[in-house]
Amino acid sequence: MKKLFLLLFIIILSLSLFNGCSPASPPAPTPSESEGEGEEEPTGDRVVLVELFNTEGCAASKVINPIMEDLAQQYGTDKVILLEEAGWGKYTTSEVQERFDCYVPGSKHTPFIAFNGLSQTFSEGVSSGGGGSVPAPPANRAPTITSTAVTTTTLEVEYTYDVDATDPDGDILTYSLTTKPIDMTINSSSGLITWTPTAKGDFDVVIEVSDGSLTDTQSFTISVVDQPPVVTSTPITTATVGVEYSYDVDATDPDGDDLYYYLIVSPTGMAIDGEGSISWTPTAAHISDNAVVVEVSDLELSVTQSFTITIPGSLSGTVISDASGSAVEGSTVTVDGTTTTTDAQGRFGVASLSDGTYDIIVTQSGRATSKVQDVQIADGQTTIVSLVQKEVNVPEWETDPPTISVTGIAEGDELSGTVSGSVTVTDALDIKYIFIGACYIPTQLEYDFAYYGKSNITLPSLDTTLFPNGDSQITVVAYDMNYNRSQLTLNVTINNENSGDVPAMPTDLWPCSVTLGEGVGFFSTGRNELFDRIGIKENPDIINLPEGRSIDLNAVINVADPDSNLFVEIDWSDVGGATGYKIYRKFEGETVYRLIGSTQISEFCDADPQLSVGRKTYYQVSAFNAFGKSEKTPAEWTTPLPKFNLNLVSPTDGASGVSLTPALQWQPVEVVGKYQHYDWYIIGKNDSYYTGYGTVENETSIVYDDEPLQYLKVYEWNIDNAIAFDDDYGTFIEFRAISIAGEMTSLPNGTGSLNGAFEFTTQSESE
Amino acid sequence: MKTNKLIPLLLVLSLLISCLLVSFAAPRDTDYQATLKAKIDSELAKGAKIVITATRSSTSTSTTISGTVTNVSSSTLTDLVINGMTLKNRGEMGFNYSVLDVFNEDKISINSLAPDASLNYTFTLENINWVGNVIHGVIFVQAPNSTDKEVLQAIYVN
Repeated sequence: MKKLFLLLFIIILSLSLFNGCSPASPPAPTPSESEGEGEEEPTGDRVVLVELFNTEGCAASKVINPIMEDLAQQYGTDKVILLEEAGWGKYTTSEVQERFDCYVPGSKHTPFIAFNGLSQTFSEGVSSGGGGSVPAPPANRAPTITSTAVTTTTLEVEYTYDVDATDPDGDILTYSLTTKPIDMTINSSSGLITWTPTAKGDFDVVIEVSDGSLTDTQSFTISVVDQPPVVTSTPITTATVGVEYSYDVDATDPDGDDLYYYLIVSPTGMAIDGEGSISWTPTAAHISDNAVVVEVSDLELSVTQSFTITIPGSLSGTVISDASGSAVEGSTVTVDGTTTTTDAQGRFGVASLSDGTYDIIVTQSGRATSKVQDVQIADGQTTIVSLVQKEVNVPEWETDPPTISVTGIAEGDELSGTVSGSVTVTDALDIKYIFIGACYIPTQLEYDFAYYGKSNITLPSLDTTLFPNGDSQITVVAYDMNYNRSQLTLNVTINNENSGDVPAMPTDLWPCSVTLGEGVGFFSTGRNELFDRIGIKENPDIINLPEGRSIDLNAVINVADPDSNLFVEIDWSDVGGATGYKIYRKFEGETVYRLIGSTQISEFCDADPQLSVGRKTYYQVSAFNAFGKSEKTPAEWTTPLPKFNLNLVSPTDGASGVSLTPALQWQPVEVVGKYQHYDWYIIGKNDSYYTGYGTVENETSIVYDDEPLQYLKVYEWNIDNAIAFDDDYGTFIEFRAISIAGEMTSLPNGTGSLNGAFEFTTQSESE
Repeated sequence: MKTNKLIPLLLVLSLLISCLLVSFAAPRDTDYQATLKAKIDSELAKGAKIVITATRSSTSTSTTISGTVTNVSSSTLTDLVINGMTLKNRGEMGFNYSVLDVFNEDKISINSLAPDASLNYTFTLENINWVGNVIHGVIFVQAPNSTDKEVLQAIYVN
């Protein structure tokens, strides 16, 4: 009996020690799992498609991904194909999100793995999903501090920081301060830190959160600065063309510091002196609204005052170089025999016009002529127009714009149901294309609804029930071969006299500004020119070129126009029952949101040249259908990053005797954003595949240790992708702003560096 | 007498140690690996109802992937789609086979495919330097509206 007990003891203890760290063994697949729906006998070999959804930085992903990658290599691609799709984070694409939604709509967890769809799944923390088995989660995992520390505060003002932490096991957490300034306290249950600093300087803090056995810590330094200035004056918000405007900005500083005044945003010609006195004489170009942001600083802290100055007048306009181009300065604008000139912001205006309709004609040497027909001036209101004035295609060609006439729809019409009509465009020599659309917005429409090489077209049927009752616009734009342009906008009223449910307000509004470096051209004037020209080259019948005229097909533009390097991509969630969405925008310093466009899908691209680096820009969206518009979403914002350009440093171009393990080094012209992501590669001269490649973040050099380089061989190296990221939203992991130095995969001749790619020759064996 | 009491106590102690280790220790990588491997083997054991062929041709600016999808089972298969993805080997362990694009806009629907019937497909990818940027791809046939959204077959495109 004793021997039996001893034997049992040894067996159980052995099992405990050698197998005890594992969870309950995963159940073997059941027959139904193994045989699918149990239909006919299949033939042929199955290849297993493994889709691994994960999150950048997720601790569990870091465990699962290498295991899965190792398994995929073991099996080979004739048996297992592994695809890693980021559920959230910077590698996310809308297609991947759609695919993830297809598998696990609603609440998601990563890592989530689908083996041949949901026939088999593996999902930490998710017990559903097609009957796959779920391993037991690790016991007593450590807590994690999830909040970002508040690292600046003001002298004599109470500092608070509510520390947030999570525990995967749901354990009760206790907070404590292991390093702290005198008098700082933390609530051990809630994690709320409070402190009233009595001296300026830097103070180290270390927080510890514990679940009773495991802990996480967060270390940071709090900078205590003095109190900011306070602006006490109220701005003057009206002015008159030709009359000097003045406003004295009054401010005080609680600490008695000297104050300095700056204009952060201002119309052309405005100035501010050292005492905070603003002076400005508006011209006709300033008719309508002018945003102003004043900063008052004590050289340590600052405060801004934002306001809008309205200048009354009959007509205000902006001339831009392309649908995503820069402002055009120095163009002559002719209205009713009166001429004026566009300023540095492309603006112009006419102070006084009698009620009526007018043509606006914009000319400048080297540029095509741009015309807007039949602009309405009425009731003493300011009419606002935007014109596109492109550079001429060929300088020697004529610059007479086409003329547009429309039948079937007229200015002021009340429309209902389905409407049709016709458009005729006449031109001295040739027509390039005609655009037609409702709710015209240049940056959206110039690429759509094109009718190439026609001078007379029938309007597509316009289903007015898709639009909300009320005021709307129908716009026709025509170009000739030399990019001379005409635009005619008809203001109409939609009235379908029906009623129903207004769509719900959209959610998850996400504006993200995208700044393009000099080496990137996939969204720019250059890109669209390139596509136009390729289209002509590949299908010469699209446009019948007049005899003697040609387009230089070799003038392929690979880089962005230097001034058209910025756009904001705005996304939001779909709303059921909506037929479209309206997008509103205001810049920092403006008080009113303006409608900037409409779209039928839940995304919009704002490429207005008024966007600029460092200018905080706010957006709202409402959904609409024939029964009305929803409330606007709460505002979200983005602040565009500067251009992210970089140069290769070493090995230098043409270097010889380079080590077989060279240090690759590059240097950003300016480090922008909080995170910089670089993809590098080395490829042998005339080789088809990279010898080595990799990715680093926030580093500007690597020591090559990939596939061995060969002696005395010529190699090319470069940074093929480089992207800078700003903060994410906090509530969800999407970035507010990114800046792209290079993106080779999107551009045939793209490069991430300004001076790359570099070639070098490796050392000889005797070196 | 003393020894006889000690042995049951040791037995109880060993059982207690076992329970504690099972309850509180984290699973090891080999356990995850075994679980994942079992799922792969389970799928491999099902065999294939579909055979896919794929041919790629590329220039420096575009790539065409074409081929056939054949029903090699004895039953008619319905409500399928031919879809594909491109991926890039990022060269680092942990997020290596990173998906670049899913052909959601261009996926091809198959209402019905009789036994031994074949269907030709073509995907044209613009503005992609497949060779220069070492792109890889996969074409797969899926039943997206089935309960388990089963992927019936896949093929790797190098």
